[in-house]
Amino acid sequence: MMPSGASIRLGPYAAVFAPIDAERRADAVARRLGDSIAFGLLPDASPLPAESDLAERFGVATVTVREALRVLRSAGLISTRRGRGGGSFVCAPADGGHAALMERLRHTSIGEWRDLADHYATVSGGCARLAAGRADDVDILRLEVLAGREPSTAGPGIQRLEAQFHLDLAATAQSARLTREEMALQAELGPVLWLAHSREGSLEQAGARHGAIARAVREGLPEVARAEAEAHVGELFGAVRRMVVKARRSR
Amino acid sequence: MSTRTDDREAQALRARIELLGSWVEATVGALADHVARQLSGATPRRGDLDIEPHCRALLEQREVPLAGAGFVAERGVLRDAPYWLEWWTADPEIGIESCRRLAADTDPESVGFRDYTELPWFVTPRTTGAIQMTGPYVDYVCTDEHALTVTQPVMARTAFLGVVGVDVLAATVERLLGADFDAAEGRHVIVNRVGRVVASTDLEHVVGDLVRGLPDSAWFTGRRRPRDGDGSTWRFLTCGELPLAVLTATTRR
Repeated sequence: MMPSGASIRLGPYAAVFAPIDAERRADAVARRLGDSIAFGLLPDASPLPAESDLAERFGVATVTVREALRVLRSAGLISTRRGRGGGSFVCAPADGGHAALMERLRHTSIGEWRDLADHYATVSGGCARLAAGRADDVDILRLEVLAGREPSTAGPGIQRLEAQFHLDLAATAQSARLTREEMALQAELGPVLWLAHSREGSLEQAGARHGAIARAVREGLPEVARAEAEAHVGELFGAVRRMVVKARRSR
Repeated sequence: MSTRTDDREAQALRARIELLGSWVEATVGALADHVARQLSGATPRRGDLDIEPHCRALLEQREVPLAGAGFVAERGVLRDAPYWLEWWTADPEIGIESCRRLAADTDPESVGFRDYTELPWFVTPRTTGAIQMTGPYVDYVCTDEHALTVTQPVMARTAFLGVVGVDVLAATVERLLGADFDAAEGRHVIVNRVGRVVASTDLEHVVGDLVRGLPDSAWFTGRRRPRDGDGSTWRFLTCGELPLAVLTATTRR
């Protein structure tokens, strides 16, 4: 008989009890920050928030952030100065993030991109459809204002505007889960999607789609709103696909 | 018979909502007074605010479990930051152990920055100078749930300094309505001014839905009896000064 207080034999279950990989968390933080820097979305020489702030934002321990910053430093993505006025500073790539984007595009298969595109189109289209049935006047005005706004072509302008429009669309759908899903997808896809779009896509086209979605929401046409949102996502991923082809050719 | 029961239920619900409303109003008012005092100097800074203990105490009390509380500064009011907000959030089911400062990006150059000065819970109190209830809406800045945000302008004489406010989840409102709500026999739907559902005992109407076919906002103060889109007719009770009403279906399903 097993003595009381003794635990099960780990044997075949050892993997279940393997220590949670602190390194993997540090990697995740490094990747998130590193993507934004590598793709040229953060202005050169701008200071990163303090380690404790970053820890709170990412919901990890300060030592994890420190480890992530070490990784970024050795990759040349940040520099760190000590003392008064010190801290970590962004080292933006000279090519505006082109090389990093190409690298990412090369390492993700067309099949994976299609899967991501399908996922995003489903969430985005679903949000648009529900929004058309549930928007009130304030929601509609807000979507129209966002749709009418011109993005600046440099820096985080495009990504921010796109993210904001789609987040508000999700919130207008009155679905907490879809809103969370939209946020998660943007964190994962945002930098690649909008950088590819600013290179290979058309800002006018994206603006027109936003306008059409907002119009369909105003007129209460769920299926039109859905179709426009799906077409919009299709165009965004079209830009990614064109970039993938270029990336392969340049290999 | 059933009409009378339904009306009694609706009145009980209204009484509870009004009680909740006055609690929230007093709470937000006290927070506004605190911030106005702290920022009364000529060139206020972030360090002057000192609202963390106040907000933590609000998230700790269990009378009305809150999802958030804090202050959001008007652009350029604080000398050492163009944009600034201090907002504490908690899971109202868990309480103070889950309390954390909202990590909002206040650097306008950063990718994660969202300009809060264009959101309704900020714009409306700035424009009207009055306390404001926003929602129910899916609050993606803070709780990621259906929430009501009550905000009040903080003024220094005639200057607008920002807003203080609290977040109450729609689910919390429903829970605070208690047995009056759970045991109700009638079909009651609590809505805001545009007919957006906060809580409902009617399975046809769920939080976040719009009750369609209500006449324009005049229905709220007028005598006209609003009709639902599906043809059912509602009796309604407004809740004092609050932008909320209890709709009660005249037919039971």
